[in-house]
Amino acid sequence: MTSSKPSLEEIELVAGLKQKNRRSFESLYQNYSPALYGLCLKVLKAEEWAQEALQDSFVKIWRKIDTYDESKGRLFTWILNIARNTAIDKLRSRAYQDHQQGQALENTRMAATENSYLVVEHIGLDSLVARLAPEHRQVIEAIYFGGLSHVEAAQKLDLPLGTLKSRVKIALRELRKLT
Amino acid sequence: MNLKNYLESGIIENYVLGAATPEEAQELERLSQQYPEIRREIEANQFALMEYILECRQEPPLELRDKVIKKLAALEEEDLLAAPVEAKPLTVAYKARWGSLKPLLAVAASLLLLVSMGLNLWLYQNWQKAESALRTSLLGNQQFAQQTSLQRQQLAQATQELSVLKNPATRLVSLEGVKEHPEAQVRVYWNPQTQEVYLQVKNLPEPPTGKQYQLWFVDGQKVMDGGVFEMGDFAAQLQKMKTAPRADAFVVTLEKAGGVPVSEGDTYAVGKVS
Repeated sequence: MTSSKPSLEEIELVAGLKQKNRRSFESLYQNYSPALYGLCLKVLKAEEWAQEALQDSFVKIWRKIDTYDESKGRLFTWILNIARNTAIDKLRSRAYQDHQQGQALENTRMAATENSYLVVEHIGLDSLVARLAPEHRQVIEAIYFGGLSHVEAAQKLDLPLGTLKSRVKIALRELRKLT
Repeated sequence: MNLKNYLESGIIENYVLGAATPEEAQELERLSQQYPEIRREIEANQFALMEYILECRQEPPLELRDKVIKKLAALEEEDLLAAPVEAKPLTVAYKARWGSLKPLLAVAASLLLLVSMGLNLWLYQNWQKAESALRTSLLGNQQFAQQTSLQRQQLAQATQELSVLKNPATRLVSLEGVKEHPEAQVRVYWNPQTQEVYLQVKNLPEPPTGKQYQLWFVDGQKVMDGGVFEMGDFAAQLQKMKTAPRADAFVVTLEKAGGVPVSEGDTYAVGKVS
């Protein structure tokens, strides 16, 4: 099911990007910005912040494109990583933390169940997100989108560290079964 | 090294979720070059995670695109300024030939305008079709590699078109071919409020080397340059043109590559703004 070989289009795109070709970057934005924006939204949960993170991500991609090594993996993986790191840096920034505190005063509890309700409403019952069991979804969300370490995630989800570590494995296994 | 144990150790899952330490990541990358089974496991996990991420994708606001492109253009300028500059030959000044304005206006005045009511629906259907192919395209499933390049282009095109079109202020101007080039067809989307102009080639012959198509917009008696546009792979996509504060009609001509300040070449298509 998986393929490690990039298509001809991707090879051409990468070549164009490395030449800092404007059309290539426009094409990159055209095709990949929705995925990156969605990711930034999941990390930062606020449009303005996610938009900033998206912009910063493209700047980083521009700056670091020479370091992208085709033999190490696909372009999409590489730019997703950049976007995730950018978004999580913002998440941990002082400015965002202050924004968060302001938000928390207005919100009620942020229960895991509340989150899953919103997700199902928004995306649909037959989506991957909805079909993945809550305890597995939480682990992925906490670690991938939340940028938490194992220890931090275990704390947040109120689990023993060992349980959390095995849940990570199971969560991904389950996700693979669903795709 | 016990391969089976390593595969079941959870390190691959942690790596894919961004939770591996730099040392673990480095070792894993090294091992993945050595053991194809490890590489396959990594990719399988990445694929699943990407599907999950893709489900949550969302179009960023339209304005952001220009912001990003401008930012990158500014960075490029910085790079250029920092690098040593060679003397560049002066560009040749174009001759002004006001006499060539008249044929354009004459044609512009006599053309029909088409507005398709079904356009929204057609675009939406195209979008839905292309959407399912995008995931496999992005995730590199080789089985679909042939089909998805076209579909990915269609999706990008349709998504862009949808957001331009969703804006109720956007006007569609259909440029039809003139007598000498009856097959020519170009679409122009013009937002009189933001003055933005987008162009999409529906049918134009590939220009010979050294030539390029140019858009003009007619404002009363004035004919203004709307910019040149690309053919080839970009022809089917929506291309952003120069802004037009007012326009009664749009015209496409074939000019020297890079465009001219005043039209010298043949007119291919014209459309009146209704």
